[in-house]
Amino acid sequence: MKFKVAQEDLAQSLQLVQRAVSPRSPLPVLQGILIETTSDGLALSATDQEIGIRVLCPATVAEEGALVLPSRLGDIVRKIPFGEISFEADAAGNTMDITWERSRFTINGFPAQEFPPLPEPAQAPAYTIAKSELRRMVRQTAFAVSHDDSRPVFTGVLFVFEGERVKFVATDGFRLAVSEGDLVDRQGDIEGEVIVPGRGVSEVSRVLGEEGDGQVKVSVSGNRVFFEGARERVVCRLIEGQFPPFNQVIPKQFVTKLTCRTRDLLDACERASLIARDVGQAVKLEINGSTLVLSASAPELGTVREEVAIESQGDTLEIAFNPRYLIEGLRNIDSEKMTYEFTGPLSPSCMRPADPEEADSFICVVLPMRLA
Amino acid sequence: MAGRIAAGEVVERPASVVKELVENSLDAGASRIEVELVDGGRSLVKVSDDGEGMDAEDARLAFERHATSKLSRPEDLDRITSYGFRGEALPSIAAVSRVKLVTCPAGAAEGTEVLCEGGEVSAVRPGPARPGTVVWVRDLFFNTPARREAMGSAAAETARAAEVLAALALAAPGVAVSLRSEGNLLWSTPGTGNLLDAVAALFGAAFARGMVPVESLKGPVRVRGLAGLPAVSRRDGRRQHLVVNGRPVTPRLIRTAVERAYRGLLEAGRTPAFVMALEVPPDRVDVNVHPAKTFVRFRDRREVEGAVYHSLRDALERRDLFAGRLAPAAREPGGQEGDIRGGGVEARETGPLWGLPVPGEVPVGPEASSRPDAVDFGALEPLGQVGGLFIAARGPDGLYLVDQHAAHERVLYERLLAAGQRGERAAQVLVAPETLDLGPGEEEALSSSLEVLRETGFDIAPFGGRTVMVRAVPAALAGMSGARLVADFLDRFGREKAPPGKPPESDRMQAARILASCRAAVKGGEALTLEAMGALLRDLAGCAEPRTCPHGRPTVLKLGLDEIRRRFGRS
Repeated sequence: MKFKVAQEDLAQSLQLVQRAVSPRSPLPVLQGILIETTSDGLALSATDQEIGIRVLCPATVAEEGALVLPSRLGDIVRKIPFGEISFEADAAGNTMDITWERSRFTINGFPAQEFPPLPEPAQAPAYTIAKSELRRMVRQTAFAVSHDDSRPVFTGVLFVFEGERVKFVATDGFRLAVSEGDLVDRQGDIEGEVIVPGRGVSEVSRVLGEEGDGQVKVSVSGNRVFFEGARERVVCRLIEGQFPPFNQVIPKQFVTKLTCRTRDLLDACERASLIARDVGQAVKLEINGSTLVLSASAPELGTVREEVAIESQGDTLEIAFNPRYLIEGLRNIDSEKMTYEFTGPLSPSCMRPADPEEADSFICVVLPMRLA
Repeated sequence: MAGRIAAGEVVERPASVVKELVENSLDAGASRIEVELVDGGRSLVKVSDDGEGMDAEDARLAFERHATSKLSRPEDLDRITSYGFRGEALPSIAAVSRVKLVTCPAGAAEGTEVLCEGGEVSAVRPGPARPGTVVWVRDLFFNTPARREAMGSAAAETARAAEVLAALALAAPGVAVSLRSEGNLLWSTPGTGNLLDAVAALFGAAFARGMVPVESLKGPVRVRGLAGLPAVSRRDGRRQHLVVNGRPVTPRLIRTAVERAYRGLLEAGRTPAFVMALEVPPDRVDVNVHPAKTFVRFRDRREVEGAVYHSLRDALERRDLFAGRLAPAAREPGGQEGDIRGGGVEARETGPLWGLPVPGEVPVGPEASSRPDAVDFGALEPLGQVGGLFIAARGPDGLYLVDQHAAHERVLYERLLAAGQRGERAAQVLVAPETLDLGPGEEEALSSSLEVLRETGFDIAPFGGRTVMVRAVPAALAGMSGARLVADFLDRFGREKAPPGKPPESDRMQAARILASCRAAVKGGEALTLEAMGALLRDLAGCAEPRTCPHGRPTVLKLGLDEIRRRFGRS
């Protein structure tokens, strides 16, 4: 095995795969990165058996082969100066010489056969989505994933494929986020649902969503989901189970509805949260005509009271929330103006962009706090 | 009479012969039982005991079917407490082998010897005057070739017989039981009456050290036995023994309750080891269900499951399961069980190096500066995490280690209490109500704690049957499954006592303490960023009693600068 590669290409590729390395795996080979030659370069793979990442890296291959090198390789390559690096494995395939300019590293590796093969994606069903959409939808749902593993389905993001559209849904039992976007293309089944672990979703966004335009193909095979970009592939084990019927939670009617500038409400909530800082402290909203009064108090710290200009319909209302839940929802409304619908002081509230064209792109249902 | 007894073949292999004969010996009040196998029992099973022997007439009758002398009226079937009530053991064995029985009642001038081959008694004659009974069973299945062929190898049959005998030995720890194969002693129990001695003799001392005593009397059901700590859990599902009214039965009968009791304690795929002896009034259990007598039917299964579950939880919670340390309650002298506990996991001493005593206790370390009053939590600066459980922090006067779980518990506890004192019931409403199925005993626990749960902020409503619905959780606990919180809470409430040496606590305080520990347990072992560590230390600094968790364990250890200097020889 022998090849030449540009330092910057390799460093960048290694940085992407490194996230799937399991540094404390009982299988030493999983603490490494599999390097294989391909027809036009290298394929780098790592897996912790929950998530697998494979990235193609341009290189000039002189002799084919494959070897697993410790993930420390990433640190080494990062420290090597900009320029060309040569790699050559010994005849037995146990060590790799890394040379550049007048320097050389010799690194011990593992035989490639010991590395568990990453599963291959299926042709169908497969759905193609623009990177920018994927990035947005992950951002708009990943925050609402639960970190309490007693209900595994809540630790994942539900993907719902419906015709030309796709929805991502996440809930931790206290709020629910739904993000909707367009598919570029699809093959096979028109409808489908899978639950992807929250961590997997975040890695996908990081590996595949990083730069600019492009598309990602999402396919499901067995209990795994695959995400493929031009050079990158992420495979992730699915969460099994039944996601709760989320549509039932989204209010269809309201008793009070307000419209305001997203920024105004977000800023006011962020300031109020400086007072309602402790877990379990609430920020109170009083909606009356064209005014929203937002207040919070902490016995040891002080109080805050702000007025926000709004337009409202329906009844006057007093309601309290965990400020964090409000802030995390509001931060993900991408449009300048928003609407916020309420169904009562102890029942679900629903925020979304005000522009009718965007109104379905993001919905966040937040459950209030009861103050007695 | 005979028709009332579930009929069936009881002899399948040497292990069944061992079982039937040893049960007879136990019924005869033996204090010593010796079992010998030759060729895995295929050539010979010999069982000798020092129990009450039989006279000549009884010895002859023993070979007749359903000649049992133990039952005289049909009503007796409801009060069966002896082993061999079926009365068909010896005839069934004799029908398929060559049996010699020598027996003699204590004090008799001469004994009796009976020979029987293929079910036909060939001789009844005087025998030696040795008190007790010895039975030789030779050439098992000599007259039924198909069954003879169906037996396994000598090693396999020995293993099966050993397993059966071990179960009986555990059911009768007061009887010295030994097993020999081809003349070699495989094991022997001492017959001291202490179950732990029997366990150590059978499975080794190291295994016995991993067992904790279980004892409870709940309603009519008495539970005694030993429960295995996680360290002696197994992947193969073995080392599980259940004894009901002195009779070994299949441990599957209590599997659900045991699994529940160990929930969260074992890694996936591991099963706990246990030896549990239940005493159930004879009229509440039906033993006459299966010819091999390994099944019983409880009149009230939930009553039994509840007793098993609670006694196991009690026993396991007295233990600090993973830290290799005795919980305070278990350190008290405990009569007969004291030595069992003492033989368990070693007690952890506060080392001479690190020392920050619990308030009210005498300081252990030599450091004057390690007095708790000297800690200024607000000035601690986190350096990193150690072992995923502890925060290392720099203070103005030394190095500190903070137990993040204990610290988190303290912070939550004071927050829940403070909210209560302000009369707040701040609650976070759930997106969709969660349902919770109540387990054995949990209905009562819920009805006695419903009030305090509601005061804390829970919104709990009945949902029909044994199911309840959780609609809101205390705001300070948001982020966790409401059903899981309630389930964990019910597990502990009512059985948890105030930490030793503390003033008695109100229900409200107890609830806050339990909820804090449920929540903190979830967060324990979590990787923390420096920022999160700093936030936790600041929260801790704001507590009224930052130095201990609500259970009285320390939250922080300190290594003073003077001490560090001295240790490096720089003083």
